[in-house]
Amino acid sequence: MTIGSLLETLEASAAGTWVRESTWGFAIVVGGHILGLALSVGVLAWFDLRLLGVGVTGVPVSRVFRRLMPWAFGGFALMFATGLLLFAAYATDAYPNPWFRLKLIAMTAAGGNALAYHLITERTLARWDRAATPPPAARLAGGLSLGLWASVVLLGRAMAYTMF
Amino acid sequence: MLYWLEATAAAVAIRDSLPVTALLSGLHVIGMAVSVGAVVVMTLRSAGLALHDAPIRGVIDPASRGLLGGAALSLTTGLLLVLPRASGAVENPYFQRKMLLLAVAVAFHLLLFRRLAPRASRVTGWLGAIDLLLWGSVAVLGCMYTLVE
Repeated sequence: MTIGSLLETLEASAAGTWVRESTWGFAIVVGGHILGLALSVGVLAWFDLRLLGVGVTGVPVSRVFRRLMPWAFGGFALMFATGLLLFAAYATDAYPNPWFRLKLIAMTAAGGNALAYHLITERTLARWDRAATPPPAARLAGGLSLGLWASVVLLGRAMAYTMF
Repeated sequence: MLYWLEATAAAVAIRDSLPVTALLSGLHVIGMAVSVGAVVVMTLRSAGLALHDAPIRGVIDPASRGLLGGAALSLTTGLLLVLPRASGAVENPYFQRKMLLLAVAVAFHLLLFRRLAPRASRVTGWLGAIDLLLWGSVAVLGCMYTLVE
């Protein structure tokens, strides 16, 4: 199966057709996508600010992560589920769109940055968990996360304006 | 006056430039995300569900500043986005409801939740949930307005 036929199959699926052709499908899915984005990126920003030593500096980094991130993960789940539905509805238009590809690259980079933080930087967390200003590697991870997720939002809007 | 606004140099520049419109729209969404994130943090702290080791003022005050900063960014970019289509926007029912709900959300936050949140109780947790519902509804109505446009 070629990529082209896979994209056409996605568009012809029941989910893709519902989003594209029903009266409220597109509006409901886009609304959910925006809410998921606001919840995920909006809450994640507070953990990033803690890593930067700018916000809620009185609370250990590990506790900010444990208490806030489940909400951000809920938002990410909603954002990804609705994003997949939107992609299914307009797969053949989205796939070649350069802004969509840049958005995927920015998302992958954000995921890589989070993975690097958890696998490498977090190993020494016990030493700086309560520090108001975390070490440079943690601050770099927080700054990169903020910048990359802001880029994802901007690229998503650029994609929408060049597709519809 | 709305037609005059639509003919201003700023409105024409925004209308004629897709990159500028997309950039403003992206910043509009970022401002909204900052606001919603701040309300979530305030609500969780106020309800005693998260960050309870931090002094309540140490969470509520910066989060409230974050909320108002995000709302200011959204409002500024939103006004610029509406400028080229001001006459159509004021007649759009979703835009009207969004503006009304935005006014209610700002008033509710500043006059009620922001003042009571430092008391940290179950009641303030519910007030926070209402605050979150109001800001989330503003975001969804904004989305509906864009789709109808």
